[in-house]
Amino acid sequence: MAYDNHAAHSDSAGHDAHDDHKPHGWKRWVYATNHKDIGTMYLVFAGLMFFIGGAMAMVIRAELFKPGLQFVDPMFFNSMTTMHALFMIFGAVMPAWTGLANWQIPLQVGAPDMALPRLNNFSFWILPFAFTILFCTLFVPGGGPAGGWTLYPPLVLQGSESFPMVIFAIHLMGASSILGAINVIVTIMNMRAPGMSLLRMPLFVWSWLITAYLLIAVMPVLAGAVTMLLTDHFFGTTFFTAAGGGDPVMFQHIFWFFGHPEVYILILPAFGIVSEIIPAFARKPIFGYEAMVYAIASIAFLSFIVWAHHMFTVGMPLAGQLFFMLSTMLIAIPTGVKVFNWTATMWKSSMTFEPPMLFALAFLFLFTIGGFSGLMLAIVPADFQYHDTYFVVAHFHYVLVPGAIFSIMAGVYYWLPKWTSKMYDLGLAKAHFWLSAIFVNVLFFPQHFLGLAGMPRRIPDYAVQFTDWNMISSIGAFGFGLSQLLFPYIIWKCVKSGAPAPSRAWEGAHGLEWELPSPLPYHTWETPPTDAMIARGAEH
Amino acid sequence: MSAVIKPQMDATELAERKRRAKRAAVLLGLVAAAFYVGFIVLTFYRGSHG
Repeated sequence: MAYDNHAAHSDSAGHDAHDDHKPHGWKRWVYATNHKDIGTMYLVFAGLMFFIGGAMAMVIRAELFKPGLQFVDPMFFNSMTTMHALFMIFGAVMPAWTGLANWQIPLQVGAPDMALPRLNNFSFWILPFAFTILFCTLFVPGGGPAGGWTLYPPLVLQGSESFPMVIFAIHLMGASSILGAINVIVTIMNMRAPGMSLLRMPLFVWSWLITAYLLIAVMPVLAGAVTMLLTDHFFGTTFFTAAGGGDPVMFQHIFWFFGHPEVYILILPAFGIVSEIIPAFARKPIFGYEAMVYAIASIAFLSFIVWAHHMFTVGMPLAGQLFFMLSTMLIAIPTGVKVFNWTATMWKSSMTFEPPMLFALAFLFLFTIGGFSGLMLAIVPADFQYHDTYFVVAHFHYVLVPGAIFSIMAGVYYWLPKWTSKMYDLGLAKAHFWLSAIFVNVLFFPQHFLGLAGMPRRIPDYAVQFTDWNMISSIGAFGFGLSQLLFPYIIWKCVKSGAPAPSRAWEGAHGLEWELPSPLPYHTWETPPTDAMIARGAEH
Repeated sequence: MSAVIKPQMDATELAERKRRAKRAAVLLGLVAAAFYVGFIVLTFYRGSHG
């Protein structure tokens, strides 16, 4: 057992016990302004969206189990691919990161709460409305959006009656993300405890600070793009309509100016979490803390100048192809720095392999595979072959599932004992890890072969030579999907009947959150942490 | 940038922190709005001027 059973820290009060009242009943959640409550709501919401989006993925993989049309008609299949992406990106991964930010940032910087608690409440409560609207599109005449999550015109302009609902839902999601990002930046810049200088902040906080700036820069760009789609559809403008002098390719440029940084919005907080977990379970400070900060910032900067690698095949000047190819390859440098530093942190360390560490290690290996296939896609002539094939599907799922989602799970397993003051079933969590790690590879690795063999993405039927790998991929999908049911069960069991966890749940964990007592008070850091606490936490 | 919470903050300091937080939030909101409007104007301009 690697967590520290005798770690009740006598100097870890850090709050005013007399003021620890909390509201009860539904008002606690509807009117929530406490960062922990809002963080919990974000995480529960993200979990719900993860399972809805996952159910859509099961429909997709069931249909693709063998060639021919089995279960759904092609239009509904296309709706499933579109909605799966929208639910997973905007409903599951982004709210999960915001939930983790809400829980952890105030605890980690020694702030009593987020800087703008009412805005925090508002940015959460927008989301259920947005996703209810989006989900309801499946029931309007013509069905849900089916043109892909990228919403490319002219296809999207020929869509069903659900179109304005989708645009409205995307605006709501964007508004929620921007407000959440504003709150994160204002909190980090204004609410840090004395002595918590920028270069003493935990890497999770750093990664979120950079992510928040990305969000503020690019979510409005998506909103602008979909607003123009809306006016093209309903008000006779021709921003993207060739018949009126508009340019559909312009939409692709604008979309991917948002879309590529969006990919980093989904993955940068993962870098932060892994940078917290690996040192904790390697029992060594992170190797090259400042290099990690600069690497995250470099990746964020580069994300703004690589967008057109998503659209090499639309045709662009050779100079443009070269620029976007080389700028994309540049991203491998700071990413390599990070992978090197995580590896160097583990070098000659005393590692143990509890569930958070297992998920973090899987992230390290499998995200790197996704990174390598990304490099292959950056090469223009190769991309001409791979574009819109299952190779691309395999690539971004390696980045997003064992990348983003595994690290969210790693983060939850890492901090759950702090949040609940109880320890979850480590054996079950390890089983959850191994099932996930095996099935995720069975699910996505064969898709590389399918793509290289020429199977296009977003089709409900395929040529018979693709059958075998599709069957294997679908078996992996069902296994992965079923394995995820363990996750809420483990959390529920922990909350209901977990063994008491000490205030520092993991022997090697550093950071201000571990200086707080367990059970965690409802209000924390109303008296800021001492410099000694900050120094202990900042041993990186 | 220096951190602004102090072990004992008086009412003036708390008010100042609140004011600074609100000002920063409004500024960031304006930046977001500028990106929103800017990209629409950019697309409109490009459409009009080839």
